[in-house]
Amino acid sequence: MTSTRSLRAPSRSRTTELSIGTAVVVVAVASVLPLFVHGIFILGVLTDSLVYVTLSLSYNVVVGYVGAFSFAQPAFLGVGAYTAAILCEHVSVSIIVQALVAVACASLVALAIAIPAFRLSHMTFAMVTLGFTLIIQLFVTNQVGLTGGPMCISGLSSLGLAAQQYYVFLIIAVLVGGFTRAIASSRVGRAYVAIREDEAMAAAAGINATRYRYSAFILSAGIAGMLGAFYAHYLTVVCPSDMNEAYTTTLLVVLFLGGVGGFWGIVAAAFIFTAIPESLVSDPNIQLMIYGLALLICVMVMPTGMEGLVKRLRSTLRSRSASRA
Amino acid sequence: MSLLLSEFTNGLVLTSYYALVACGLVLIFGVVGIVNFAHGDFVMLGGYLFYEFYIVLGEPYLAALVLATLAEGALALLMYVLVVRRLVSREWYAPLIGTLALSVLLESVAQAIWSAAPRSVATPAVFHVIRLGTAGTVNEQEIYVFVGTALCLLTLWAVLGRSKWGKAMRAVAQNREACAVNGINVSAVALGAFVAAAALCALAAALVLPLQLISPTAGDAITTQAFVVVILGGMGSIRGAVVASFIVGMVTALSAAYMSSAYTDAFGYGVMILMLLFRPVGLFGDASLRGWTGL
Repeated sequence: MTSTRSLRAPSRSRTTELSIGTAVVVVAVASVLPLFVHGIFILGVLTDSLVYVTLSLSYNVVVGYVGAFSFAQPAFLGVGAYTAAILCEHVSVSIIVQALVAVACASLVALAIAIPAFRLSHMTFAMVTLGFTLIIQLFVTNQVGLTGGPMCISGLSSLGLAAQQYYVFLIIAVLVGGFTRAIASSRVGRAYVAIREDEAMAAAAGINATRYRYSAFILSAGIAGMLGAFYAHYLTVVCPSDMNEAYTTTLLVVLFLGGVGGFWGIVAAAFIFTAIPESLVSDPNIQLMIYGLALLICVMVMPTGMEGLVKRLRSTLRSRSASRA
Repeated sequence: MSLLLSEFTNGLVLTSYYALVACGLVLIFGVVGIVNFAHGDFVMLGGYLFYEFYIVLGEPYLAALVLATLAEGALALLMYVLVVRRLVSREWYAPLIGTLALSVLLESVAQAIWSAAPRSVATPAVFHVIRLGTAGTVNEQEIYVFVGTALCLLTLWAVLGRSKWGKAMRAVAQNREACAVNGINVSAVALGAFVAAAALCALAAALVLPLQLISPTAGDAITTQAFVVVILGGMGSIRGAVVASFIVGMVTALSAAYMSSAYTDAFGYGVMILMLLFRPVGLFGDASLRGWTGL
C-alpha cells in the first residue's frame, strides 16, 4: 500500500479555528431562534431551509467533493421517505430505527446504481442516475399496492410541534454538516479532491478512484435516505412527486451559487433559496427561468460561487494589508 | 396482422426521429466536444418554430419546414456564441451543468411564450391514410418522415464523407490539437457542427411532430432517449447512432403495444444500463475512449 504520508493533515491552522468558531456561533444562534421567532409559518420556512441545507450538503459530497453529476439525490430522499412510510404501515418502530432502515435501503439502491453508472464517464454517470431516478419514480407510481401510487401514503405520525420539528432538523443539519466537514478535511476528503482534480496522479499515489467514487455516492445516498425518513414524518404524507428529478436543478443552483465543494456558501445559499422564492416570485415557471439563468451564469462566469468570491475578497484584503505592512 | 404493421410503422417513425436527433448529438459530442443536455429542447424549439411558420403564419408545409430549420440554425448560432463556446474545454461540470441550465431556461422561456398546454401541429398529410391491402394502414406524414429521414441521413453521410467541411469535422472529432496545429479553425468547424445538429433537430421536429403534440416539456423525454441511443450505439459513432435508434425505436414501439405503457420508457433505460454493464463503449464505440475524463 503506497504511503499516504504526504496527504496527512497539516497541524490545525487559524482557518480551522475560525471555521469552528463560526460553526459555534451559527449553531448557537440557530438554537435560540425559535424563542424569538413567532409564528408557525416562519418556523416552517426555517425548517424547510434546514432540510434543504442537509440535502444540499449531502449532494455536495457527490458533486463537490468527488466530482460527479448525479440526478438521483431526490430519488434517495424519496426512497428514504417511502421506506419509513411503508415500515410504519406494517410495524411500529421508533423513528431512529426507521431512519437506519432508510439509510440501509438508500445505500443499497445507490450501490445498485453505482455499478453501471461509474462505468464510463461523467455523462454516462449522469444518464444512468437519471435513468434510475425515472425507473424508481415509475415503480413507485405504479406499484399501488405497496406505495399507494399517485394517491400517496398519508397519515404518518408527525414529529411534534413546529418548534420540535425545527430542532429535530437542526440537530440533523448540524450532525450532517459536521460529518461532511470532517470528511472534507480528512484523508478520505483529500483523496476525493485528488480524484476530482487529476485522476491519473491520484492513481499514481495509490488511490483507487472507483472505490472512492462508490463510497462518496453511497454515503451521499445514505444521508439523503436518513433525511427522507424524517422528512416523511415532517410532511406526514409521501408522494411520488417528492422524488421528482427536477429538484436536482434547485440543488444544483444552491451548490453552484454557494460554491460547489465548499460549505458555508452552500448553507447560506440553501437558506436563501428556500426563504426567497415563495415571497418574491409567484409564478413557478418564472422561478424556474430565474434558476436556469442563475445556474447558467454561475457555471459560465462564477463557478466558485459566493464562497469563492468571499475567499477572493479576503485574500485580496489580506495581501493588501500585508503589502502595506 | 394489421397490429403488427402499425407497430412496425410506429417503430420506424421512432427510429427516424431518434436517428436524426441522435446524429446531431453525436456531432456535438465529437466535434464540439461537449455533452448537450439541451438537445431535446432544440427539438422542442424547432417544433414551436415550425408551429409559428406553419400554423400561425400559414406557410405551406415545405416552406415552413425549411424556414423553421433556418430559424433554429440562427438561434443555435446565437446560443453557441453566447453560451456554448464558454463551456467547451473547461472543468468537468461546465458542459454538463451548463447545458442543463440552458435546457431549463429554454423550457421555461418556451412555456412563457407558448404556455404549457400541448399544441397540435398536424398537417393534412396526417389524415391522408393509405391502405396497404389487408396488412393495415399508413398515413402520408409517416411516408414524409421515412423519406425525409433517409434523405437527411444520405446528405449527412455525403457531407461527412466527401466534403471538405465534413472531413474537417471528422478530423476535429479525432484530435482537436492536431487540427489546430494544421491550420483548421476548430471553433468555426465546431460552430458549424453545432448549427448542423440543431438543424437536424428542427427537421426531426417538423417531420415527426405533426404526428404528435408539442409541449414545452417534451424536450426532456427526447433528450433522454437520444442519450440512450448514443450510449447504445457508441459515443462518437454516427453509424452506431443510426443502428441503435432502430433498436431503441423498435423496442419502444413494441413494448408500448404489448406491455404496460407505464413502463415503456423504462425499457430504454434498461437497455442502456445493460449496455453499460456489459459493453460500456457501445455497439460501434471506440474502445480507446476509456476513462472518466472521456465523454
